Amino acid sequence: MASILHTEKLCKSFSNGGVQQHVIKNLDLEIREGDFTVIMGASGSGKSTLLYALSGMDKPTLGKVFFGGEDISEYTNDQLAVFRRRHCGFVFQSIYLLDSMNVFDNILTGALVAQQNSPELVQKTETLLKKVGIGEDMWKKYPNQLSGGECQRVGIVRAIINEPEILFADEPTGSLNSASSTDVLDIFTELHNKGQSIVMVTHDLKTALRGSRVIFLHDGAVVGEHAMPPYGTEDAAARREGLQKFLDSMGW
Amino acid sequence: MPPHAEKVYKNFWTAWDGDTMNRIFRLGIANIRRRKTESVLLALMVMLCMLLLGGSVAAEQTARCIFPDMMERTGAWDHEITYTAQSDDPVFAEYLAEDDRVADYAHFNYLFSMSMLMQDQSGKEQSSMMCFITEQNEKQYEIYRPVSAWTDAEIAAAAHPIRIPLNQKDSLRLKEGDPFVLTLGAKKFTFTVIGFYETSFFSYGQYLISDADYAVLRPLCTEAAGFGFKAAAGIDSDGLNAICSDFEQKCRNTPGTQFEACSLTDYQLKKDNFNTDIVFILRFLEVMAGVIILSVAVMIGHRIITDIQEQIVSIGVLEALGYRSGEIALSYAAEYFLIAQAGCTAGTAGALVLYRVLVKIAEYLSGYASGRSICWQTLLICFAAVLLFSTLLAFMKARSVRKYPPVTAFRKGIGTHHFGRSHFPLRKTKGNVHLRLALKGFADNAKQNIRLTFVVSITTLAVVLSFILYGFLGKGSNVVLSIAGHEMSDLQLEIMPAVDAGSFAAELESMPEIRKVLPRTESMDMSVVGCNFELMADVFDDYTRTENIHPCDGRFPAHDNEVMLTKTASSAVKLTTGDSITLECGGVRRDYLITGIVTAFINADSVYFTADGYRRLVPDFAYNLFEVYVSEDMDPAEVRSLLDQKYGRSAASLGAETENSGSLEERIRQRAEQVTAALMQQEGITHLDYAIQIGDQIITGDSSKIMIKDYMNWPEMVTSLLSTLVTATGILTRLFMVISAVVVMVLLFILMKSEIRRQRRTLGIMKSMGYTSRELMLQLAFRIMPAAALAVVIGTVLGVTATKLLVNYIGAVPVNLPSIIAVDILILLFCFGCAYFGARHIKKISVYELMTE
Repeated sequence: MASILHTEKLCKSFSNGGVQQHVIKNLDLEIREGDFTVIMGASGSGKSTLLYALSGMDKPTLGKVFFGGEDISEYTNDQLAVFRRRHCGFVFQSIYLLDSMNVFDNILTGALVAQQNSPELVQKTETLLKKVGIGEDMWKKYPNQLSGGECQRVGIVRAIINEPEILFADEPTGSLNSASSTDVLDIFTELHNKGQSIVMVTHDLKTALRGSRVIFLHDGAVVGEHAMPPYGTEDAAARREGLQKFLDSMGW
Repeated sequence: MPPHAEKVYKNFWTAWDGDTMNRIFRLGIANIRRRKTESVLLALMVMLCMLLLGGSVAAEQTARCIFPDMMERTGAWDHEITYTAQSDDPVFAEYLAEDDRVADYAHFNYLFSMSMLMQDQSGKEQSSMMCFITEQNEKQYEIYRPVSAWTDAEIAAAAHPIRIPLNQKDSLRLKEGDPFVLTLGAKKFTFTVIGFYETSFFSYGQYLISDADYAVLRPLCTEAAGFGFKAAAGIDSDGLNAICSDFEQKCRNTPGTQFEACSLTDYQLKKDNFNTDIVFILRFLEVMAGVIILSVAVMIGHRIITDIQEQIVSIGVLEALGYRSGEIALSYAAEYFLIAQAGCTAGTAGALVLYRVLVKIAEYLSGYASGRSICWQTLLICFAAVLLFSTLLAFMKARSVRKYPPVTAFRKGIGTHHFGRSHFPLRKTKGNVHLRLALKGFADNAKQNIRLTFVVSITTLAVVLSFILYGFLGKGSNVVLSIAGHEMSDLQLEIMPAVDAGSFAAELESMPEIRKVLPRTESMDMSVVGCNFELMADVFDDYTRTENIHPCDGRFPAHDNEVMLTKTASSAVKLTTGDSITLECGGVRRDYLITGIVTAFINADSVYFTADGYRRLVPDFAYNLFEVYVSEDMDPAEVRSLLDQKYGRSAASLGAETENSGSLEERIRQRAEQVTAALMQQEGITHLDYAIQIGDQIITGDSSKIMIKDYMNWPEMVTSLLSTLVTATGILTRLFMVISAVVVMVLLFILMKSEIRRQRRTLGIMKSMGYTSRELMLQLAFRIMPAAALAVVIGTVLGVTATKLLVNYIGAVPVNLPSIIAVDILILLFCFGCAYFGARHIKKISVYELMTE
C-alpha cells in the first residue's frame, strides 16, 4: 500500500515555566493508505500529540511531516487550516459539536468550508445521518438534546462528509458507554472496509482491535508495531489474544 | 422595602466586614490583572466621560455667570435707550424724570464707527466696530474701574491716551505703552495704551479716550446719545417697551428737534437669559459624555456576562468554598469600582484642563473675563455620579451569578444550551458560507446587537452632527456668511443722500471690476402693532439678486403689500407665512402680507420690504447703501481704490485728511472739501455750494463730486466676530469625531475580545474543521455589520433631524446628503475594520490546546 503520510525525525516539545518537555522524539513513521492505524501507549506517551502533529492541528518543533509527498510542517496556520479542510476528517473524544447549531448545521459547517452547497450535499448529509442511525426527527435537535453516542455519530458524519483522504480519531469512544462505543466502532470498521485511511488514538483494547495496524508509543518514540488482518476476517478470540500478547510485550 | 430590594440590601451589607471586603477587593484586583488591556481601555473610556462631563458641566456653570457677574461688578444700567446724538436735546432727560415707571437714569454720549480699521500687533489691519467714550461719560454709563501698571504721572504724560476694555487685553495682546493704531481712509490715528478698564458694554469694543481725542474723532464717527435707566419695581418687558415708545413719542413731538427713533436695550433681560454660543458647544460635550457612559454601560454589561459564562466553573468552586453569590457579585462591582475610580481620577485632572480651555473660549465668545474659579462640588458630583453608575451597573449585572448554585455552575450552567429556532439554516446557503455563518451569529446574539446598535447609533449621530457642523462652521465663516440672512457683499458703500441711486448703481455695474451692485436700505426700528416688538427694515428692490437671504418658508416679497420676516421675528410676533402684519414707523401704520420666513443669525429681528413696500411706510425713502460684488479674482481693496480714483475719496476719509501740500488754491480747495464732507456726514446736509474769496480770487465748488459717504466691510467684520466660534467649532467638531471613533473602536475591541473568549471553544472547533483565522475574523467582523448598518441609518436620520432642529437657532444649516452618505460608508468601514482588528485574537486560539485541555 502507498504511503499517505510520513514523518522524518519528528520532534515535539513543550516549554512550561522554563522547563522543556520533549513529548515526541525523532520519530520516523509512515501511515499507509487504506490502513486503520491505531496508536496506543501509556498516558503521557505522546499519542495525542503525535496525532495532532500528523493531522496538521499542531506544528512540530523539529522534523518534517509529509502528506502525499508535500511537507506540511512548514505550513502557516492558515495553510494548515486549508490542508485540514481538504484532506482530513476529525473525530474527538469530547466530540466538540457546536452547541449553538442543530445537527444538520453542525455537519454543514464542516462541509461548506470545503465545498459549495448543493442539493447533492444535502442529500449526502441526510444519507450519512440515516446510515449512522440519526433519524430525521433528530436533525433539528441541538447537541444538548442528544445522547453522547448520538453526538459522536453526528461527529463522525461531520468528519467524513468531505470524504477526507485520512480520518483522525482521538479516543472516539472515550466518553461513551459500552453500547454506544460499539455502534461508533462499527461505523469506523465499515468506513475502513470501504478503504478509508484512519488513524486512531486509543488506550482501549476493544477499540484497538478494530485496527489493522497497532503502533505502540513509549516516551515519544515508536517502540513496537503489530499488524492485524481486517476486522471480522479472523477469529475474534485469536485476534484479541494476539493483540494482548503484543501489548503485554510492550509492558502495557 | 420590596423583598427583591431587601435581598440586594442584605447581600451588600452582610458582606461589609473587613475580611470579606478584603477578599472581594482581592478578587476584583485579580480580575483586573487577568484582563489588563480591557481594563485599561475601560478606564480610558471612563476617563473620557469624566473629562467631558466634569469639564463641560463646570464650564457651563461658569459660562452662564460671566455676563451677569460682569453686570454686577460694573454696576451698569439694566436698560438703555439710544438714538443719534444729532437729534439730542437736554429736555429729553425731563421726559424720563417725569415718568413714574423710571426709577433712576443717567445720560451719556459715545461715538461709533463701522469703517475704521484696527491694526493688530502684527501690523495687519482688521475691520472692527469701534466705539469711543470719554471718562466722564463712562462714569455715567457704569462704575469706572481703571486698571493700569502705570503711575499717574506716566499716564498724564502719554500722548493720545487710550484705555482698552480689560477683556480685550489678552485677545489684542496689548500692554501699557503699546501703540494702538486706527485707520480711517488714509489717516492713521495712533493712541498710547495707558491701561485697561472693566466694562459691560455689550457687543463690540468700547475704548476710553481723552476729551480732546473724542473731539477729533467726533466728525469722523457717528455719535450716539442715550440714557441708561433703572425701571421701577414691577415693570416687565412690555412695560419697558411702553417706556421707550412713550419716550420716543415725546422726543419726536419736541419742537426744534429732528428726532426719528430710538432703540431699547434690555441688559437685565440679557443678563437673565445670557447664553453664549459656548453653551451650545458645552451641551454637545455633555451629550458626548452621555454617549460614552452608555458605551461604558454596554461594555461593562457585556464583559460581566461573558466573564461569568467563562468563569462559571470557578464561580461554582468559590460558591462551594463558601462565598455567597452576593459576595461574588460585589467582587465584580469592586473590579469596576477600581477601574472607574482610576478613570474618574485621571478624568478629573483632564476636566480641570478642559474647564480652563472652555472658560477661555466662553470668555472670548462673550467678550468678558470670568472672575470665577471652578466649582469643586460640581466636579465631585460628576465624579461620584460616574463612579456610582459604573459600580452599581456592574453589581446589578453581576447579580446573575445567583442563577448558578455550585452544581449548576460545575455543569457550566445552561448558558450554552440552545432550544430555540435555528436562524439562517446552512442547508439554504446560496453563496458564501462565511457570510451565512456571520448572519447566523448575528441572529443568535440579539441582545448584544441591540446594545451595539444603540451605541453605534448615538456615536453615528454625534459624528454626522459634528460633520454637518464642521462643514457649516468649522471650515471657516464662508458657509455661515452664505446663509447669514443678511446680505454680505464684498464691499458695502454708504452713498451720499443727494446721489441718484439708480443711475449711480448702473454706472458702477458697468465697470468690469464690479460684478453686481444692489441698492439697499437699512432703517431704524419700526414697531409691530399689537405686540410691542421692534423690527429693523431691510429693503431691496429685487430679492432674487441677493446671495445671502434664503426663505426657509414661503417666498420673497414681490409687491408693495408684501414683507418677509426672520424666523426669530416670526416667533416673537407669533405670525407666519400667510398672516397679516401691521407695522408702524414715524406715526404711519400699514398692513402687509407675510410671504416668507428667513433664517438669519445677523440682525435676526429684521423685516424685509420691497422698495415700493417700504415707501408706503416711509414715503421719502431713498436708498442709502450699495452692496457691491466685485468680479472674480478682484480684491475688494483694489476696487475700493479704483472707486476712490474715479469718484474721489469718501466723505469719511476726506474728513480725516490732514495732508497740506500743493498750491494755495489746492490747499484751500482740499480744506473746503474736508469741511463739506464733515458737514454732509455729521449734519445731514444733502448738497453744498461754496465760494471762498482770497483777495480778488474766488474759489468755488460744490459737494456733487462726493458720491460715496463711507465704506464698510461687513464680511470681514462678521468673520472677525465669528473667528473664535469658527475656530472653537472646528476644533470641537473634529474632537467629537475623534472621540466617537475612539468610543466605537474601544467598544468593538472589547466586544470582540469578550466574544472571542466566550466563543473560544466554538472558534477552536471551527479551526479544527479547516476554517482559517482570517475567515473566522471576517465572520466575526461581518457579524456586527447588520447592527452597525442599522445603527448608521438610525444615527444619520437622527443627525439630520437634529440639524433641522438647529435651524431654529442658527439658521438653515446646509446638509450635503452625498457627503453624509460618504461619511456613513466610512463609519461602516471603520466599524468593520475595528471589529476585524479586534478579532485578531482568534489567531491566538490554538486548536491543539483546545483539544487537549
